[in-house]
Amino acid sequence: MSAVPQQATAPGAPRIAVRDLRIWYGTGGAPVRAVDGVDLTINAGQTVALVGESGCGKTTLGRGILGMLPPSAAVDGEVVVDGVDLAHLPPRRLRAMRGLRIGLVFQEPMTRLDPLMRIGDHFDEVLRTHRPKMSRAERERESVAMLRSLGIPPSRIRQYPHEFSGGMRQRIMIGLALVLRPAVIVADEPTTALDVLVEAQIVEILAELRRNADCGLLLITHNLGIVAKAADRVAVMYAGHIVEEGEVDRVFSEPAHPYTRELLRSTISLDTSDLHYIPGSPPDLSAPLSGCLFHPRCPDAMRVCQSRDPGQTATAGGGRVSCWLHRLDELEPADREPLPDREISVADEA
Amino acid sequence: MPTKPEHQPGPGADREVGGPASTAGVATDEAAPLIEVSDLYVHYSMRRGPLARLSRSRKGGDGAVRAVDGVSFSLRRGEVLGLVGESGSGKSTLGRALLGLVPASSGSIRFDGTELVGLPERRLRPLRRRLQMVFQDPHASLNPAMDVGTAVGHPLKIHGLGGADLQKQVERALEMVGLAPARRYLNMRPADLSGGQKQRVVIARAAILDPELMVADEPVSMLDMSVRAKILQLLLDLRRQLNLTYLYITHDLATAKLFCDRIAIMYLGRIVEIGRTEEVFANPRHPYTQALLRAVPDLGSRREDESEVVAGEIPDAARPPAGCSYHPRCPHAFAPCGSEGRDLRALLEARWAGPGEVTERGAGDPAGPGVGLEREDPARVVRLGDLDAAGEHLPIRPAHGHHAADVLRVLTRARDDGPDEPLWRGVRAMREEGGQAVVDFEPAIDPGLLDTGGARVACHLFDPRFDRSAVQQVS
Repeated sequence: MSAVPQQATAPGAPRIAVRDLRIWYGTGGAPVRAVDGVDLTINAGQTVALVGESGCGKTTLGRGILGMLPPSAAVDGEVVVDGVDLAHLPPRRLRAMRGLRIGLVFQEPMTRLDPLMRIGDHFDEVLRTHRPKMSRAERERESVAMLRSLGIPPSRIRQYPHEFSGGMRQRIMIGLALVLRPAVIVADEPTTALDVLVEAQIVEILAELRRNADCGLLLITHNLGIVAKAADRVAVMYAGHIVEEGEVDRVFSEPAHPYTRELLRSTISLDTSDLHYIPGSPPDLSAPLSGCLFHPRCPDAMRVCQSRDPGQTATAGGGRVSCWLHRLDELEPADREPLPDREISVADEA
Repeated sequence: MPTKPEHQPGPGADREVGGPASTAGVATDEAAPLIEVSDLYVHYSMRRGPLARLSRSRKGGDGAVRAVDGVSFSLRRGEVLGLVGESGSGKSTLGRALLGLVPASSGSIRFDGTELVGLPERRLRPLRRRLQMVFQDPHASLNPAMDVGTAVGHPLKIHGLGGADLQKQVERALEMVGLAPARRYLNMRPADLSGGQKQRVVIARAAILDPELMVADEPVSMLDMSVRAKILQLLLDLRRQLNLTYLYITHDLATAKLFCDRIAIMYLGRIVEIGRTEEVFANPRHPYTQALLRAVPDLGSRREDESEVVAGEIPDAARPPAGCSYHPRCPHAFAPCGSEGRDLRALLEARWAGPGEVTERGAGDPAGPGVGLEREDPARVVRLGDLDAAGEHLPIRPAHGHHAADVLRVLTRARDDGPDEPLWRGVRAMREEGGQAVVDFEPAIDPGLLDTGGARVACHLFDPRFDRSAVQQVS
């Protein structure tokens, strides 16, 4: 994992492929199936957003891709980055891959920068660790070029993290993730701690990244407005499964899964005139579950949804959806009967 | 920079207490203001300690963080006023000051005829039954060791209202916020509840006293998207049931639009625009309001106006910019809005950032060894630190080995490359004086709230005294 020069990757080539990934937490009793059979591919120059309510496994999936799970987690499946399966790599080789091949952007930039290190030294350390053959002058040149491309004057390279504003710190975090030119960047709620005008600046940087870099970006967020602005594809996660995946424009204009539709309807935007919400909350992932996991909250649920997993159906634009509504012709009339109205208490919520 | 400043007692602190107490008990008109805030200041002093000395000597401020800097508004009974702004705008401090949780430095807060500023804690406490607050973080608002029933009943006990039917009142409050059947929740502890359920408990604890004013400080921003709508709906239902008056503090324009009758936009301790919600959203006047509205991400198709993203961040409230606080970020700023040395520094540094050829400097270089941009490195010519000084008259020393003429050359080139930068509209002259370059700025004028018919706005663009076209010319 030394300073191998990066060969430019053809746009559209997969930079990361997650195959049938399962992440279960053992908690003494029944395991919590936080991620339960996820497939996801991100191509070069592509941004894939991962959305869903809290407790649906978004963050666990992100950490699984980075190999940053707690020891209590059991991992099965593959996370292939540039031909190497990270899910089964020994810790030492994994550490070398992380940073070099997978960059990270966290929610709270201040807690991830060392307050006693100058900004330039943060970059220098990253480059020294992963590109040992680079000279000091080359490292400085790389750092300055990166900072400048993110709108930070080179005169500030000798300053400490506390001398920067929240938005500048998040730019620095993005710069630290990008400086090694990784195959993929995982950004977990990168704008949640920022104000709305600064959020717009960071979203623009992320959108810019998609056009220039040949890396893939996994953007974990609960903000569907940011997805609309910065992502190419969106994966909707519910109870450890990806229930719908496709191009952002298609998914937002014609959601194929009732959960996607309800999630979009419950988002409060400037055009919202009536409050809408999804009754109930995501299921307890340690309980035995059957059928489609969304059926207890689904307004369109049918009898079949209680007992049988809907599998995956292809949608327009190379997407997929897991819902019996798209496989109606395979069902007997009795299976298609709507489920009787279910009582869900208002207070049973996430 | 200092995060825990000491409170600075202002002139209001030792003011005569009481006001016309005679109005208490008199039946109030529905249209009469329930709360009236005038010229309220909350300043935090940083005068003591080494940090304060550091920040004063480096930044030249008077050592006070102007969290709330002269705010006036009134709130009618049953009304919902939204206080919208970025973090650092002073909106939370203002909300807390209304409840006496942070003392005002000066100004007046009249609640139903009673002056709250300067009121001793002993006299304020009984009033707090009528003034309640819901905080942002439900996880931090509940005592983890106290069960739900005790927590919700606690305010009644504090106010000596916990009679024999305490249990009944608690159950009624819990069912009112949707935690039904209440008996299921009474013995639970916060750890057993989800975020949304915790916020419902917090709301029940505030509502059980049957308050008149509820200050809701970002009550849904820590909650999951799918839960926000439920809690907002609950707050709306309570408004109807309890005839509540709300001060809704948020950074989220979308929820403010849904929830509020009127909107006040705050920036750096001031209200910069205030008006009826539909008016502010349909016809935003202040450039800051316009920027906020543009920045709200929407679910529709991608907008292509990405160059519209506003640069910069909210400035330090210990040393607000000259003139209009928003001028460093405002694309429409002109002479009276204020231009100053810090804007010049930001401009020179921004020119230096951005993509371009990077070069290395040797040890013999006047700017010292390092890496920079050969073409534009202003630190080689200009002592950038000089640009941090305040005032209309800014002397700038040349860096070692350079002359005042070189400084003027850098400045002139920056202006020639971007003559449309708002900063130059406030530069009267650039000249040489005693071996230094001197920049003279136009006088900066602090904008007050102007009535524009429909909304009040603190922006010189709406002030007929200033003719924009005439002052735009750079001398």
